Amino acid sequence: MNHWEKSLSGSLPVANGFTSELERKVRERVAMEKKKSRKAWLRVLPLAAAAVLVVGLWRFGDVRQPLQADGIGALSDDAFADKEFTLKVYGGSSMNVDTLKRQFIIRHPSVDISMSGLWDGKSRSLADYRSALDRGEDVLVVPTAIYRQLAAEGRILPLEPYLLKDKLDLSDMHAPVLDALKAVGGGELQGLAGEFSSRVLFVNPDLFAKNGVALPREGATVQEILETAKRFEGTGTTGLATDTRDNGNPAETALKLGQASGLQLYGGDPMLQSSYSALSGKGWIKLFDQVAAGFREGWIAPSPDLDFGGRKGIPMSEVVQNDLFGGGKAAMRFGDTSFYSQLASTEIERPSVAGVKSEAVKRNWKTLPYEQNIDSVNASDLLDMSRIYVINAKSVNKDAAWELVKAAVLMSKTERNADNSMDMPVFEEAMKSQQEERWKAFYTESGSKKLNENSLPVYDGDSYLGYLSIEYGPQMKQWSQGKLSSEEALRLIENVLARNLIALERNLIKEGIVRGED
Amino acid sequence: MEFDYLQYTAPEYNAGSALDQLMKAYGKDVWNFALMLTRNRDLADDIAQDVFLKVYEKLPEFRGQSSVKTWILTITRHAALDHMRSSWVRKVMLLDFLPGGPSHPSAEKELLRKLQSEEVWHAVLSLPLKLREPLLLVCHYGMTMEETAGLLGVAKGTVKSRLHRARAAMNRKVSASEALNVGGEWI
Repeated sequence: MNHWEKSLSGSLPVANGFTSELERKVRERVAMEKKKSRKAWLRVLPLAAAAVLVVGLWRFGDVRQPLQADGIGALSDDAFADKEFTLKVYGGSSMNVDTLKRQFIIRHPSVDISMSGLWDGKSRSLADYRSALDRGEDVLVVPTAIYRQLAAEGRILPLEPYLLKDKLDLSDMHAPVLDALKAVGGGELQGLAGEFSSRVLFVNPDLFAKNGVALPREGATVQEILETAKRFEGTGTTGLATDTRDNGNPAETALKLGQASGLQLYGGDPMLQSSYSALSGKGWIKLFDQVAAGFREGWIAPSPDLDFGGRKGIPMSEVVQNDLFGGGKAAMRFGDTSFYSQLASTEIERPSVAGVKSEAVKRNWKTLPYEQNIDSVNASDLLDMSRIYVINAKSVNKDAAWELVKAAVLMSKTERNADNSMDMPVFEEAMKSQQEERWKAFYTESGSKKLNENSLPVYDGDSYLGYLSIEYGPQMKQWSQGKLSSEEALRLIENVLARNLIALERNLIKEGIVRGED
Repeated sequence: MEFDYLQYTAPEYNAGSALDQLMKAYGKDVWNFALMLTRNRDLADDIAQDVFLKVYEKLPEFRGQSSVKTWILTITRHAALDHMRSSWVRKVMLLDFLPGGPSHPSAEKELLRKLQSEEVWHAVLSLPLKLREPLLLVCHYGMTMEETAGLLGVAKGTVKSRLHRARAAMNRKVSASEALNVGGEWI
């Protein structure tokens, strides 16, 4: 042990502030809290009395008979067979919650499920979820940022006791998801997810072979991938297609690559979300110069804009075909689980729908994990859970709510086909019927294992990209064309980032996530 | 002193006396940990109060997932991070550590001066939070890697690597300081 370690194991060189006065204050606050809860009980006393009366009539009168123990519920070992109640679920998408509802009701026929707040294209605020908890919704389906906040507020139930009670083994669950749920839950597992999304590198081995370029290694760095892309210069094949199309913001690619390679958007301590940006560093300038050169020299390119040609919609096969990678014109592209789904699902032959034929698109592709040095704020691109199931700490049906959450997670063990793989299931076994070289990368270490509590979204941290496109879209185009230097482009981005942080902070204060100026 | 969580679920369990016992046993640890995370005495006072209020509320739900000490320090950490996220605190903390900041001596600065007089603790205080936390938990609170990983909500490997970086940073800082104080005694 070093001499400094010895000194560190001793006492702090300051008088300890946990005095008897502080102990007294704690007792006072406890007493006040008790008083408050007694008053709340008095307020609901008339309602409680009415409820007791109704339950009494139900139990002992002829108003309603509970299900007999030898009914359907008992046959399926239904713990709720002798009760009838409604479990309230808030959030999620109708597709997932409907399936879950069916799964649950088969096992527990006496329980009804009501669903509200289903995804309707509008984003829900923290206030919406808080109201749902106040209304007594039993189970909420929330995105990561909301989960973080509700866990911090102590409004959702820790799930470890339930896991222990049921001896539920989650060792085959994708470990980074479980780790992230614990980390974001403040060290406690307070929610479970059945799916996750993350990013990998999509490659077209045929185009590599045709041009005599070696495939990047598994776990390649962003720098290695850019160098590989440059080898396609002048071959007629694009080395790297961007996620964005022609009308998109070319700087988005450079910003995402920078973050994945460990460059920080914000300086200082990420725990404190320090409010100054760090874009003036040499690392950023070098990367921006490199990406701008890629755009000018054609080895990096965006896909063309979609042409609706007066139509109301476009078949997915056309969307994929229009993508430089999907159409077989680019050797590589970064993409997430939804891009996987687009590619995989459009390879299936389908009958015409309403006279529109979606042609099957066959191509040779696979995915590789790449190194994501993401010790940065807000890396939701690299691992995210958009549907986390949590239980209201004040739910009156906690056990049933837990059964529903358990069913939601275990449902993701069911085998998937390409049509229902929008996000990856947390249990790898569900992907076995699909081609392993296409999905394995989503589950490999260099893909997402390094995420920690600081990397996951605190709030909508990507909103600056929207501001950037609106305010400086043309300037970013000029940068990609070599008409604006990387230093100048980064200064403009820094400007947007600073203002975005102010707006972000306003939102956080509005939502009560941080206190305002006292 | 370690508590068995089962005693709180026993029929004779009395929440008030359990709180007293826990404050006696862990009050100082909680306050010290809050101080070392926030570097602010007033905040440490507030956090310690919040922590024990939370402990009182959550005790019936605690099922021994970890030791009582780890559980309480976890709550302390969350409370400290919540306080540090406040914009007001951020500004105060930044001012405190800006060289040439306000010249009026305050109780805060007195405290820091005291701490800084102990070079080792000063070096620890100057570490980034991410490195400071595992170093304190392992070297000061005597926690194992597993316990620290559980408390911080990260993998054991992450704790190891942060601890390695923290130790390297401490060695650098302490050596630099020793070079300036040749022959000086540390303890």
